[in-house]
Amino acid sequence: MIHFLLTPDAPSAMKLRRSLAESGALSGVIAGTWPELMAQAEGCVVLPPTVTDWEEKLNMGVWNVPGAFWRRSLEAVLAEEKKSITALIGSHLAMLLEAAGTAGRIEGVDRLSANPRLQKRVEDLAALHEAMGHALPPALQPIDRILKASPERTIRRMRVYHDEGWLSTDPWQNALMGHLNGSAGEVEDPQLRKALEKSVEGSRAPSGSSLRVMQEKLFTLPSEGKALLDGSLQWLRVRDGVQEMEVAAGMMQEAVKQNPGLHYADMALLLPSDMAYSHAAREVFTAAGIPLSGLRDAYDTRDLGGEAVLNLLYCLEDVPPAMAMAALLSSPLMPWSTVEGNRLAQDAIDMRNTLKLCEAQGEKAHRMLELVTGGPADADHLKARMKEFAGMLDEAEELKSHRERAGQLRKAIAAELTASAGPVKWQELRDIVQITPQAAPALPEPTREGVAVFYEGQEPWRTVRQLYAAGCSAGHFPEAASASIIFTDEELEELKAATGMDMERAAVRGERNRKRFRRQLTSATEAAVFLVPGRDAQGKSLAPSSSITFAEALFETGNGRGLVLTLESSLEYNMAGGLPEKPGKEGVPPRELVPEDLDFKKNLLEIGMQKDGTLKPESPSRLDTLLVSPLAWLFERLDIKAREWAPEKLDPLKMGTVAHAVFEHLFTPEGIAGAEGIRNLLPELYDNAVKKTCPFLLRREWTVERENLMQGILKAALEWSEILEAMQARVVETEISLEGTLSGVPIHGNADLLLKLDDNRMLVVDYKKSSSGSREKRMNAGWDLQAELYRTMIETGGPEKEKKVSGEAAEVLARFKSAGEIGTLYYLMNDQTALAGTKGWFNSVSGLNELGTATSNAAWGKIQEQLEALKKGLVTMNTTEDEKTFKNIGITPYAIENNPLVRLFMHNETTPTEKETVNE
Amino acid sequence: MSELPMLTIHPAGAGSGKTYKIQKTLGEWVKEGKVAPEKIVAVTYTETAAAELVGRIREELVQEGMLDEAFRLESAYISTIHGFGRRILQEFAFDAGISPTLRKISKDEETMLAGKVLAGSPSAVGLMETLEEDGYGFNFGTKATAEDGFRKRLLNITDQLRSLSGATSPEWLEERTGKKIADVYGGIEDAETLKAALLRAVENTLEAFPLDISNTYDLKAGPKKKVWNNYRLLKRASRSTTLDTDWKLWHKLSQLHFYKKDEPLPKDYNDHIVKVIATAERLVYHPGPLADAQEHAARLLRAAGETLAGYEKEKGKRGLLDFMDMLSISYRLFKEHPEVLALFRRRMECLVVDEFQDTSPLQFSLVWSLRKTEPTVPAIVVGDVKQAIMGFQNADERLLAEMSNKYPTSPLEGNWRSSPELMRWINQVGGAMFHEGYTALEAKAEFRSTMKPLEIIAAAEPLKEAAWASYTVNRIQELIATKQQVWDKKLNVHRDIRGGDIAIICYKNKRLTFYAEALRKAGIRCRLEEEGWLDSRIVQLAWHCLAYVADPGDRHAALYLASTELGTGSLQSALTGLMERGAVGDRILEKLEGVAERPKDRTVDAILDDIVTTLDLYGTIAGWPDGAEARADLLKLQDECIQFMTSSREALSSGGYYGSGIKTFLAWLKAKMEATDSAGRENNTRPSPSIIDEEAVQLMTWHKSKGGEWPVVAVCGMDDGEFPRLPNTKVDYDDFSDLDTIMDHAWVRIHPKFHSKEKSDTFVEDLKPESHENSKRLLYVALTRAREKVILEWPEYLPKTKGKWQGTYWAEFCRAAKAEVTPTGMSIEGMEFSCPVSTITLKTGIEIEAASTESSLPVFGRRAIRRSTMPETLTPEAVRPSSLHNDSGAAGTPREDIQYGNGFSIDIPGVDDPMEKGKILHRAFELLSGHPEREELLAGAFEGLLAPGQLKPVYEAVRAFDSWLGSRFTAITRHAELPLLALDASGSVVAGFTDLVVETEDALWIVDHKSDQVKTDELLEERFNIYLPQLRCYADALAAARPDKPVKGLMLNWVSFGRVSVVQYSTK
Ligand code: SF4
Repeated sequence: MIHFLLTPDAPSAMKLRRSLAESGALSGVIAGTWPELMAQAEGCVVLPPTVTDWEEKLNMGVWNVPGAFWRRSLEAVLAEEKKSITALIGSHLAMLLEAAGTAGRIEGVDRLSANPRLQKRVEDLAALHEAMGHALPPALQPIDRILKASPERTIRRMRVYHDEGWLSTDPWQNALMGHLNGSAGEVEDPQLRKALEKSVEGSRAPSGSSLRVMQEKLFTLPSEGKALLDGSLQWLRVRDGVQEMEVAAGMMQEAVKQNPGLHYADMALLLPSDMAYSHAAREVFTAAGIPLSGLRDAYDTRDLGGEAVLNLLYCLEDVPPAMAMAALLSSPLMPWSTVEGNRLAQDAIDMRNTLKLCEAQGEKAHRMLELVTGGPADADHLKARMKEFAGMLDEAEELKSHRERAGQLRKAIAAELTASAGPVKWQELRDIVQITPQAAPALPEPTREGVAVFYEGQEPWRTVRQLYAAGCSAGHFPEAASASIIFTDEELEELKAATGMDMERAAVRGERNRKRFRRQLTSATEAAVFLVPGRDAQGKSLAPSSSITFAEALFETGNGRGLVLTLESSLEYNMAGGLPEKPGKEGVPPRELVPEDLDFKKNLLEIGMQKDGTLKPESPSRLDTLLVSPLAWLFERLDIKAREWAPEKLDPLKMGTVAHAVFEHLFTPEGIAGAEGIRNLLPELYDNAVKKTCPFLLRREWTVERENLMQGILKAALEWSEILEAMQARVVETEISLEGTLSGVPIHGNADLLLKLDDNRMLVVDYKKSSSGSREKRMNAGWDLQAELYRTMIETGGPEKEKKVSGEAAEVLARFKSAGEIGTLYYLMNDQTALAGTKGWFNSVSGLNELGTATSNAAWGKIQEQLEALKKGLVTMNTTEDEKTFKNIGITPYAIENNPLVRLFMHNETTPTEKETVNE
Repeated sequence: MSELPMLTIHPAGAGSGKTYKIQKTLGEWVKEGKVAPEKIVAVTYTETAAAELVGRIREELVQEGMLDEAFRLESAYISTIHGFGRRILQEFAFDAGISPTLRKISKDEETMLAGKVLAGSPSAVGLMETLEEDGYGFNFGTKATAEDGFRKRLLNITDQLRSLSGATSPEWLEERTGKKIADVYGGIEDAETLKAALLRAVENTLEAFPLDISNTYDLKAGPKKKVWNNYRLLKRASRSTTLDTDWKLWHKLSQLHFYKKDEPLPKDYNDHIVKVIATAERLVYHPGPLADAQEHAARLLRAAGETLAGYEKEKGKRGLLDFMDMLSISYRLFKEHPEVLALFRRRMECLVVDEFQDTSPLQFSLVWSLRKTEPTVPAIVVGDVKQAIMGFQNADERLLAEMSNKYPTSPLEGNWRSSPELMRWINQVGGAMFHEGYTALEAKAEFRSTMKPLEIIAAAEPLKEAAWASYTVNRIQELIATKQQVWDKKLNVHRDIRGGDIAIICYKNKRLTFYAEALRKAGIRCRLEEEGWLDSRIVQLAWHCLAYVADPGDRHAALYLASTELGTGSLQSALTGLMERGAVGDRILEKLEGVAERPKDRTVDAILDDIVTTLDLYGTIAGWPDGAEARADLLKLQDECIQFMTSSREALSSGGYYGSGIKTFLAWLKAKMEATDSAGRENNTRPSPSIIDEEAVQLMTWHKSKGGEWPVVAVCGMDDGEFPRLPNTKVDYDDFSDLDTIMDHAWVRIHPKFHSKEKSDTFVEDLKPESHENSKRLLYVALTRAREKVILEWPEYLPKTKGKWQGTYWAEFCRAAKAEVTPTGMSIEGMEFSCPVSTITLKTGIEIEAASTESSLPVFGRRAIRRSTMPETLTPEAVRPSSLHNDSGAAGTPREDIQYGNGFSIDIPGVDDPMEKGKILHRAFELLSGHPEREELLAGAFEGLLAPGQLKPVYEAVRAFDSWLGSRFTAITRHAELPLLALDASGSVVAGFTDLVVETEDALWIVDHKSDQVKTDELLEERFNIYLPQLRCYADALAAARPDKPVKGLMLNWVSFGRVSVVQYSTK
């Protein structure tokens, strides 16, 4: 014979167990929740194990009710949504069945004709139940089995003690309890009944105290007028949840300090169920050294297996989205290190064409990389690759469950592929992989010493002296009761009246929540502090809890103020009690960031020296960086770059690459395409270029960009063709790698185009996918660098070793090295303007502007100066004026803009360093 | 209910207590039982206002003792119009055939869906071919591409189309829009003639000057470039067909460079050019641009229409809603499903609309549909046409105007906000600006102000924003320093003025930063909704911490962290480390590596929390000078992590975000902060660091100041203005006379931008009257915020400046209110108000010095916590059996091992888990031990688990145990599965079950069945030592629970082995 004392939830069971145990050890007595009762009840009867197929039947059933009210919604949405709608329908059917009683049938639908909508909805749910073969939901099925089991199968007897006011039960539960108590036969133990009642009632503050009034009268009306508020109750308003925790922790410390007999175990913290509160509590109370007891402080974990499989599907479908590839490559499940994975991922984001593992990685790793970057797959191929993939995941023990999950998903996908022939239905495969964060088991192990943590939706589990309730904003304390989406409260009333089926209405839930709040208040015997947050984590204002209005009806403050004290107000702060003193010493300010020029006392150009002892060559773009910011140059040389991810975007750089690739094939030594030729050739060239450099543009949502870019390139090509013709130029070579030296420093780079005008004049051409405005400004100011660098390369070197060039190009370059004039020219595609660093070479070429030969003068001197400083190991920080200065001379200072560290360490323009003063 | 008025309109001027009126009225109605509280439908302008309204009504009800009504109030429909729409859609999702989950669309999804849908619209694709010509280009300020610009425009029009809710036909819309464009465009001439003339002029020029002459003459750089460009344009124009479509070229030709004084250009060149210019200027009479503009507008509308359909479908599939949907779908739901409307109307007993002037026709129609059909419900509409300032959100004040004409009005005529002295001025301004549209408000405020109600800071010479700010802030500093007395509404006393009593309001948000800067210099705290959250120091630091934890190979993050606030190294030392040792090396990095090493499957929020704790970030920043701001910033970052983790994966992948790791989060966060949300709000704002901050001067825009009040308000930035811009799009209505059908007269008005500046000006002119009205209303809002004092910046230098000063608010105010400032005061429409006027004659600002005022703000929160360490050992509240398993002290306990049978093991198909097997064995022993007669129940208990052939061995095993037990004990009772409840020595609760308690005449024995595979004696010994402490604990509990008989011993039944270990027990 077991005596089972039924409690609403686990915390209340815990409290009841303690109170029972403290009054003497017991055998044959259990205090527990409904699920525990069910487990015992199932133990009492000999029955075969339960198998439930409710969910499968539900998933089929929702589609098998013709014209059901949910049908249109269900059809209109994607898989993820379908799932949640189905679950919603299922839960309502379950509730309806709970209300319908142990017959297990929804009946009396015809009595609902007064409200056709209600009738239709109940009818449809009944039809669904029928379509499910009248299956019972998992909560009811065992009850049904027990009720129906023959008496000789009962091997144990159990008496249930239940208090309707504490936990309201449905007809099934009542039937089960009736059944159990009936067969138990014995009368109740009055001691146990009393213990249960005591638990329901909770404790009380001394009569006459405000807390007592609150415990007894909240949400009712005082008959004898308002009471004067005493110190046993306080409402304190602070900014946000974290601050609530801070104030609570500070007050608890202070309380313990002031009252020798008071321990942390005598206090409780009542929290909203929002996990952010629990996390904040952990952080703050740890810092304060106050143990918390019963804090639910677990985080979900990522579904690594699901993510890996899903991303693999994305990567094998078509053009792999860059971030899907990156996420996959850096997944902890990959058979390589975090650092290596991140490096690969960054390459994928930067859309490097080939992803390479470092040599030292094993064969498995290389195979894995091949597998995921191997491009689109058909059905069979896909199956095989996924299988191999799942077999090669990282073998670390801590990742076991994720590996298994990936394996299971892989199998499910293979099954789906086998089941459906024809082309792969990618969306359907992806629907199989629902990424579900794993909720970590949040099993707190409460301790005797810690501050007890209670939660809003739960009963308190300890009697304490002081209660601190946090999160008292609108919708909390009492918790807001949400309404059903399928039935209105009125409809539920109608339903009850017509059929007797009593589904819980929002109003009833509201009532229950208020009662629970009051029981939570009865956990404290001396004082309660309510913390009211003024803002949420995003800074949005929060309204105070509705219970404050009800409390206001009970109390007056005696000084004409409201109940709530806002601690930010100096006046109200002084009225609050129990706050700790102000700290004696001020906090430590952050250390200041001082922009000091760097001196490494060694030749910085020697960083990354090549094996043969030669310096690493500088490229035009790197020297451009140096021109703007030596620090940025150093970062580049040391390969220090923010490793950020971003979804694909068509930025000017990529547009430029595509345009370059198209131009490379339109204007060649073989000939310069004319208007018609351009129109004919361009679409294919463009397509190829896009496929190679930014394949994502091929996706449908990028149509606008794709079209528009092509139009822009077309226009630029047409005009360029005319300019070339008017210049009477001959193409010598495209995309040629050149090298040379500058002040003894090796330089190299690719020139877009070499043009020969006559035997004495050639032009190095640089295409730019931009407009001429700032380039012209820059050239006019003498701050251009790039074109001049190419000329220098020709003069001091020539074609890069080991790179192929045509015979003609080699010959021309060799000749111009010593004789003839080399001019430079930019072609700015966006406004189709050619800017030449020449003087008097052309006679009236429309669209070409000669800007003279001084376009590099200023930059040339500066760059040599910068190189000299590097040789000495000096790196000067930028100044806050630099950006403006550079913009004024037509240089966009990307090196500063894109570099947070360069920005952080800038000299303030008002205090130039000595060095700069000397330089000027 | 019939006693309630059916529709009352309360025109309510600024400060006339309209919110109070609504609260009171609703409170009365409920109290008198005329309206059920849960059946109130009230639409407010902000969520805060809604919460306040509910709060006030609740208060009234509770005070009256109407508790049940107060509870029921929680389900009333009191919210913003969007909140209302959202709730309707949720409650009637199935009726509307949409998903009830109603997820708010994210920016990523919006962009992706828009791209997808646009690609499917033929009209849109057609428009894309000429983006540049149509004036869409890269925006360097926002980094938005031409495509972004186009998409934005199109989506904007799509939104506007949605606000028409498909009431009119697309053809009619296109026609109506085209007609408006033609009307404004004006007269046209023959296209061919115009072109021929221009072409002739061009050709003549080129004939005379076939070559570029820019290098021929000695010109300065500027003119030289222009002459060069002349040539280029002329050449382009001379191509045969260019001038038929390229209006931009026409326009450029009208701006060719011609002879300027002292320039050595030949005279006949100039003559030719002047001729070209003259003929090109005829572009304004060309029918081509008009036709193009009409065509473009029509295509935009068509494309928007096509997009709309696809867009809604895609969103529907994903259960997504945007801001607009909450209105348009619920409007359609009510329109198309009268039965749903009827159902809803049963839940509604009154209707209240606040701030009606800011209602858009769609919002109006949604609300209006609630009361259209009979019988209707009592309704209150409160609003003020003069305060209609939300035109840019499609609000239309003409609705309220029209309604006031049609229905009885009951104006609120008192003002409880401002002092009588100030009211006198406000009334005069209102009267002057709005004439009969203004009702003078009677000053009812009961305090006497000790301050001058009006004060003017005039500038005779042009001042930059920062300079203006310095003067105004200087004046505010004086007010505080001289301890001006303000009336404290809460305390009902006069007291010293504080920063929090003052607001500085500007038209533009950006301008406020200058005032913030000046206030900071002055040592006065301020509150300002600032951008730049992501760039705030603590967020940047945390960002790099996350980056480093995600990838300890990230040298940039390492360098950043080591050399900034949280690190210990310098930039030089960190870089040296990298160069010489290949690693930065710093304490902070070591700590973060510790974080990185913890489990790999943790979510971003868990990792950030770990970082926060490990580095004690909150503790660290508490000491920073801007610690309050920093902690608010950090808290927002933690919340963003949670939002990222709870975002739909589908939504994220739509936006190009895959995976849920740190790197993906950071990418997502950056993009989110660069975007505005679907309601048009900036995401990257820094959260306010406090709730009230009594010492902080409030900085806000005129728009945002609506509804607010402060004792002192400085109205600043009068030299800004609302200058109409092209292209301009607005929803317009041809007819307001029938409120039921206004939507049928709605159309989208498009004012296009033309290449010809002159033509564009014509269209701008057309928008001006509207903009004048808007300006007046906005001024009225700004000027009526103060309770005691208005400080007015007066840029009287404006007429002296070049540029568009006439459209400035200052000019509008002077003109509309007939305002003039004299050295001793201001006159409004002839009435003199004497007030202090300080005139600035400098062109620069003044130096502001910080007053050394100690802050009197309380210190609490983090800084009031004493740091200490956790106690080391804690006692569990309850003992769990498994926690006892490893208690030592069992080794060496004497025991008696007895072999009672052969033991057995079972093989169950599909069950590998030893725990599962153990359960089966326990159940078998419970069932059979002592009950041989239950043999036939055995099969039923393990149906589907054990094959029939497996039952016998089980039965045999139990029998063998029983017979041994029977041979040793004479049991009087056997208690199977006996629950125990007790306290252990340290006060922990012991709650558990014993498998079996054998009760003999004089003693109790505890039996525990174990299914462990104890094949060897060593193994048995080991398991025994593990289990014994738990058994002893239970024995203690049993001994306490049954004082009547001693517990004599414990038995471990090794079922698989057929052996039992018996231990003697005695209570300590
Ligand atoms: S070099 Fe070695 S440690 Fe570095 S990535 Fe390659 S295999 Fe890993």
